[in-house]
Amino acid sequence: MISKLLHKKSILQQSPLFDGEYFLKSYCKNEEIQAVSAEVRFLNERSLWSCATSGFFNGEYYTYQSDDLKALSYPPIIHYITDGYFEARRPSALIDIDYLVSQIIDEELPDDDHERHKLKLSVLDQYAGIYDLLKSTKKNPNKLFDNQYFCEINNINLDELEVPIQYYYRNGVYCSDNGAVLETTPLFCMEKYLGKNEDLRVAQVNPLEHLLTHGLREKRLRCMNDLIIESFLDNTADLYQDDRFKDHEYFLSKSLACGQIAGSKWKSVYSDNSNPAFSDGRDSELESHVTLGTVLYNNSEQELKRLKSSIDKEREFSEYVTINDLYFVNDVENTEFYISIFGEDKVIQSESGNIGFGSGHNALMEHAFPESDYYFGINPDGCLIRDCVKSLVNFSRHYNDASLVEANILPLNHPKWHDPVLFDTKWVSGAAFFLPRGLWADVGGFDQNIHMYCEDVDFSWRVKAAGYSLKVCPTANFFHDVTSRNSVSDDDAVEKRRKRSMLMGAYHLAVKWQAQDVADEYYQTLVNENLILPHQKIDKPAQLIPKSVSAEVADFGHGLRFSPSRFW
Amino acid sequence: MNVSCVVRFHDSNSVAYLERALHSLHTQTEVSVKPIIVLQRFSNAEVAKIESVLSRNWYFPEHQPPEIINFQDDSNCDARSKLMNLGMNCHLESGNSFLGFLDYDDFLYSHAYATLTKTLIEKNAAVAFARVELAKVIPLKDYDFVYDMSKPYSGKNKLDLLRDNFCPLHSYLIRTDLIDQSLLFFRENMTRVEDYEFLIRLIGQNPCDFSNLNKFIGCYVMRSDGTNTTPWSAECGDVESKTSIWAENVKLLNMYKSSTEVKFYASDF
Repeated sequence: MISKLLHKKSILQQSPLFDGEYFLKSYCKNEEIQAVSAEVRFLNERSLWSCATSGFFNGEYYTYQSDDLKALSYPPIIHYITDGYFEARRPSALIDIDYLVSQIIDEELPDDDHERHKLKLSVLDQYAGIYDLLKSTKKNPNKLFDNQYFCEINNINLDELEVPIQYYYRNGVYCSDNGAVLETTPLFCMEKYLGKNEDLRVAQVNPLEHLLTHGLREKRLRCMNDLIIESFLDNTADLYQDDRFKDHEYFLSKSLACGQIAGSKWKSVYSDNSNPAFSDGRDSELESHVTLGTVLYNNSEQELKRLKSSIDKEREFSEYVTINDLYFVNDVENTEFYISIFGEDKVIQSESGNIGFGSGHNALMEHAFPESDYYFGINPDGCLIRDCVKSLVNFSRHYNDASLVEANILPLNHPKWHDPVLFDTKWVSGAAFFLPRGLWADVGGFDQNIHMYCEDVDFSWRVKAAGYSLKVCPTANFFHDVTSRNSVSDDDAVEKRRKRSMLMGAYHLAVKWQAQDVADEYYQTLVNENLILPHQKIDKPAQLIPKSVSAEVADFGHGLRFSPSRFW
Repeated sequence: MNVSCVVRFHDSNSVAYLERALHSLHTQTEVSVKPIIVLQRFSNAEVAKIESVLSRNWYFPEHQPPEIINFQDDSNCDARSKLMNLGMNCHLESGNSFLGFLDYDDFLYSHAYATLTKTLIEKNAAVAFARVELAKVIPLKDYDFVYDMSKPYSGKNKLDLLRDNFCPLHSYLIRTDLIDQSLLFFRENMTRVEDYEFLIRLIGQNPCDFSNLNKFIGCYVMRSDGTNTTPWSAECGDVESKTSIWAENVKLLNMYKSSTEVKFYASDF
């Protein structure tokens, strides 16, 4: 027994996970401190095995993870040092093994549990133990402890510390100079956390540890509503069809605490640094060919001349991007007028009267591809803003030309939600849409049976169903002002026509994507608002999207917006 | 209709915001706009940068050539009122009849000036007002993420405006050929609420029109990091200094208010 004690004592003495000084100060009466060594005291008293012996190990936390650990007949810390580390178990709330490994490999861990575990083991095996890992890699131990930030904000010299979190734990979580709580992350204010939860301050609880073990789960972060807005998390959850994003812990784990933005004051790394989606390819000299396509119908001279001069200006400043422009005429009686503005070689007139927006763009895309690398469909009552086309090309390339992209609409962008950092969105507006040749070749164009409104939603959903992503490029600006619609309208007839077209398009969409109950609602609205006659027949789509696909992609949960909104 | 718009600009690192404001002027419909960019103590290189921005972004033939005025002196005092006065003088020299203002970090909708000029002509008013919306944004390095829009500015008429300022700088347009042009100045001893003091003097003597308050013609942008060009912006130093500057100027405002005569016209309500 004595030799076993010596053996275990030796393990503890050699491990930074057992901080003798900290242990004695925390758990022993003064008069007992000098009597026996900390290791002996600890090993002989079973009730102390569940204590925190340092910032790296907490016995209670460790054994809570699993029943086999609860049944240990020897100190859990010994188990962790000899076996648990190599089994990728978590030693304390302050040490997040998954987060450490993802930083080391510089990517997210796989979702599959088996693969994830295998990867963690392979990484952990490269180090002697958790202290060796932290010391060698200098990685942050958990999502709310940033080594560099911790040292800067608390005026500590980072170079003098082997492992900053050891300092944090060993010196108490309060600054020795002024008693202020030590801050550990730009994402979250410990002082405010204690301010809002006075019970913790009174109990002298470590706020970081409490937050990681209880606070997140108890939604105490929600007190900090100047940092996190619930609607941001809700919108993110909706966008990615994953309710787990509503939970702070999951949000932090997916975003590695620096990706997506959770609220107006939630510090993102992209507050001060350029997002790679915009800086990649910025200096690229790779040539590309873009066709701008516009569908015309009863457009005024001023708006068309403005569009043309903005394209000419863009062309003037685009070094490596060749810009071609084409126009499809739906009101053929005005063809000569359009030719006088754009030139005969750029104008294509419909052979069947007004075939609609989507069909017009389809005709233009047929002309544009395969010669063009990209097609940029734009509305005739808008104009390009500086470097719009170049920005779209670079952005598309950054995402491997596997996205349907919406340009940023000015003066105010489309109100639908998009991820502020990853740029995913539910659908792409037809007012300014950009796609690569490969996507068009795979998915085709718009549904020719939808004359106007919702054809862009349908197209977006088909693109998504085919495996591509839908994104907004906030730095590619296209001016298209629809704000006058938001003021009180003097022209009810115009508004009524627009609403009818919108509902007809939405009805077609709902039937096509097999949401019959939604389609019935749209139909009833058309009748109730005297936009169609009761029992009037509406043509149904000839082809339906299979329910298995529709269930994955279509979202009729936001009325006619088809997406959560940021505003309006 | 020829409209001058005075745009104050003092931070050469915020050119992207100036560009956004210029886009919003460039795309105004049914009017011809002359942007008058007034700079505060810019170096030659900084002025050249602004000229380059204008050259790249201002080219529709229906608009008037822009003006750049670079205010220089040896002090480093806040020159915001001085900049406005320089801009207004330039407007008077241009011969344009309509004068508007736009802070460089806000923007107008394309129908703003068409709406207001039409009203000024039809109603024979001197100042026409519409509404602006409030856009709350998160300023990221590459762009501003708009996360909320609201309509916080209430107020219905001249009386409400005299009680409290519910009209941001870019929510109104002045028909300068109808007014006593000696009113067109900002008090240079005021560095806060100088725009409100100007407005009170202007509306006090002239018929106004508020019939477009049901229309939104632009946005006031509020950044979540607190760097707005308000008395509370980061550049102003600590909270105590900001508060005392604000209080001093409010005192001045109240003093001027008590000696400002006000006339009421039927169109004011």
